[in-house]
Amino acid sequence: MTRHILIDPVTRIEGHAKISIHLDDDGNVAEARFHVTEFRGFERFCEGRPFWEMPGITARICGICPVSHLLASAKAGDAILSVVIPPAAEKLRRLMNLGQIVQSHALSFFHLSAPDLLLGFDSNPAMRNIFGLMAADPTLARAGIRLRQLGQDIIAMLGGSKIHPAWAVPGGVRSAPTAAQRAGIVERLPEARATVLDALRRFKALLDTHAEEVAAFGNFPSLFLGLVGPNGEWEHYDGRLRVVDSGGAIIADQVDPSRYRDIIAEAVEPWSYLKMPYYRPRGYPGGMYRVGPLARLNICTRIGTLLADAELGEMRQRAGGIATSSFYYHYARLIEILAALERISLLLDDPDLDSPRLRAEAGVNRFEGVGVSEAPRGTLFHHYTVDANGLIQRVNLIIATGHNNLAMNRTIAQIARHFVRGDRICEGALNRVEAGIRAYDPCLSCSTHAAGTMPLTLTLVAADGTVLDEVRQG
Amino acid sequence: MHYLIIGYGNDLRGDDAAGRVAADMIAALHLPDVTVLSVHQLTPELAPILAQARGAVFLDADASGCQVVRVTYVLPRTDGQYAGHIATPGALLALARAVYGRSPDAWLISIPAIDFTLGASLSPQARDGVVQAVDTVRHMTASADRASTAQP
Repeated sequence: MTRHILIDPVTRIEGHAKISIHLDDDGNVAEARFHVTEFRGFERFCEGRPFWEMPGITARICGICPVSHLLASAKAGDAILSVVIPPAAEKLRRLMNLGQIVQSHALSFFHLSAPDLLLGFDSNPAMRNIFGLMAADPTLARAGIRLRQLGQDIIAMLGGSKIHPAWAVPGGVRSAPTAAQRAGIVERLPEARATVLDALRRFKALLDTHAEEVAAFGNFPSLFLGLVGPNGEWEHYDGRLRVVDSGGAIIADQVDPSRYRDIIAEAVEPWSYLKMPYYRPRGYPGGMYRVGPLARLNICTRIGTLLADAELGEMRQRAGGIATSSFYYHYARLIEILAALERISLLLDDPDLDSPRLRAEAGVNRFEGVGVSEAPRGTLFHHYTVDANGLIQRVNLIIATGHNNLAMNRTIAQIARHFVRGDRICEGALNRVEAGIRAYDPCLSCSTHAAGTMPLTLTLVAADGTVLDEVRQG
Repeated sequence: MHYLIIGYGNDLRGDDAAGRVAADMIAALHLPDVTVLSVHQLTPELAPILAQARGAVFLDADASGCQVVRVTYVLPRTDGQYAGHIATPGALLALARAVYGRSPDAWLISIPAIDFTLGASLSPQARDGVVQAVDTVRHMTASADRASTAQP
């Protein structure tokens, strides 16, 4: 049955995000706001649907990271069934999530951020894209594209489709790859490893030449939140919640993800549709925390694979412990690609993957289920309440971009204070503000497609409300 | 070499799915030598598939207010219209050319779209546009076939 829900205000293609920078009476940056003007309303849209359908529906929230929603939703379904899924199913889900991390991080670094980093923030904007990078360094650009392709091919191998694979289901997964398919991925791993190690080498060299960006791109104390394993090791699919402060102190650990409300609360602001989660014990907005690759590397004790642990050690050495600059998100992304490739190699060799037992069968055994996994951009929560027939009564989704909302606002303000001068916004400042947001790799453009790019409007507002300047990119 | 038809849009946002609905209808026709893809967004992994195509047609919802189905020839574009997460047809063609050495002749069929609220149904205007778009593709691929058969 077709459902048609009208939600006001109905926004459309334009204006997915805009940033306003507010000046004080002396013309200094007082605050900056990252407005998200697109309202998806998926939580309401899902009410009344069978929870069995939720992985397929929620995977359609986004054309870029459907796997993350698929897995979190399937896990919420596992909880409603009250089952422990077969070992092969868990390992295959992990494999898909690792493929997702590879493809998403490769896209973020090579397609979106490398043009800024390698061609320069002040370079010609018309060429500051993947094509400019292709002209400047075709080998690196092609290698980056192939790296992303590998992640996509792992997803396609498992799900039968690169996007929206209705493959993970409550209780397990639908199918396993053949030995030949797995071998096809294994033989591509050495090239992928070489690509990411080369990118890491280049990025580390940039840290010395981009000291100003490291200092000004979201460099402030905050909490960091994510999943860890039982011994605090890096985790991407399961585990429990850990919160670490910027001094490295663990302030919450091994929190059952189904009790996320004990530590996470959500605030709303009238100027944005994106919720503002915060660490409940510290209140709003003092409980600001960051999630995603930087947070995962800041909270874990170790990654658990040889090459990635060596890189993690070096990153911590360079940062002097916990990395507080969001510029390090790029660094963390590359290390996580390396970690994912190492874990993929181990998983593809695991004999459990040959098991025909892929799915636990059950009915509704609980009326509430929480599914949590680490999406490439950060911790993703799916929380469903169902009736006795398994029909969805209530849905709460906390997406990674939402977790980082407070930190993104703080980042913009910091960059604006550093790079915006007077009552005009120069192109270099606009690009740096955008790059500051891009460090978090927010996924905002996934509601309707036709924007083509993430349109970004940057407005400079005087203390009396007068708009001094407005520029647009995208 | 085949013809590639790519319909794209969000199938949970009303008319935004017009291109995908048209693509699904074309797929059901089983046209010879035609590959049809229905996707959420234009992403970089479509570039290698495009590079192997003889010709390509993109099907998209058009929110410009235009009341008729429009067909425009698409040129590869490298001028900053590529944001990585989502590409335009022109940027995707440029990516195919840059990475894989070639891009096909390509056209964009824009389908009038007016209603983008949450839901999986099309407005009457978009439904009419979809039917026209399917017809247009059928004629385009048929005439291209005749032209290639006539060549020595």
